[in-house]
Amino acid sequence: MTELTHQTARRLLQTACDAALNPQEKSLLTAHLAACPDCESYARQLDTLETRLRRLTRQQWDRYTPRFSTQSISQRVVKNKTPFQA
Amino acid sequence: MELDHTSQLIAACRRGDELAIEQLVRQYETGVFRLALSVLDDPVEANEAAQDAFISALNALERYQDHSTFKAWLYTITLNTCRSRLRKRRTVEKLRQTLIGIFRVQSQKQASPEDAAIQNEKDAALWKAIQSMDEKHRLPLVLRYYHDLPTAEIAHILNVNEGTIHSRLHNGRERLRLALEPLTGVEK
Repeated sequence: MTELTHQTARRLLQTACDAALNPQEKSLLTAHLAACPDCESYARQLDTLETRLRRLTRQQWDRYTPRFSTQSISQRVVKNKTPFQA
Repeated sequence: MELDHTSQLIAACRRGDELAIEQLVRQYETGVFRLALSVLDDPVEANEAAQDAFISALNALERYQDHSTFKAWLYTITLNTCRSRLRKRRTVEKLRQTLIGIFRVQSQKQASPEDAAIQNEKDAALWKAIQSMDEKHRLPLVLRYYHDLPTAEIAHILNVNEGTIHSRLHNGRERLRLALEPLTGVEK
């Protein structure tokens, strides 16, 4: 096992946001973070960013609901169909 | 079970069954509307885009094939509808800027309800950074964090490979992290 560079540690932290790391990557990263306050701080920033992104986008967009008539859509679609399609 | 139900509904929609169409629209209306809203950031335009997307999808149902999920297929159509609206919006904005230049009219952007709702400094900085981000980086972030989609599905919807999505998410998060960095330590 080799030690991680800061660059590799940060790349792995980014990867971990979207996919699971393999056990070896995970253990190397854990060891690096325990010894590197800068990368540990980077990890916390990423974690906070993800939480904030989820909360903020929901706060901004979840208060709106669709306001259109499903009936008018179905009528427009059925009207467009030729007798052969319907 | 869910898949069977959707397949039956789609088959009924293809036959022109109005009730089935209404049921299908109801099943996906919130998802489609919220996707349009997250791309266009305007509830009125998002409603129009969602309706257009449903009509386009329902008219193209014959071309839908079961190898992709119906939701992913519908979301791709919704995104294309929104992108076309964004292009029109950019053209109108360009024209507006030209007219402002010609007539030297002072433009004052009114604060949107979204701006008004954000009261915390870091949230405001983050929201501004998201809004000013290019579509290429913004859409994967929105699909990942607002719509909770896995990268494989995002890649399918945006029609790019998964590696590209990973790279865009990485770059997008890095830009947002840097936008927040000057505020680190501000307890808000």
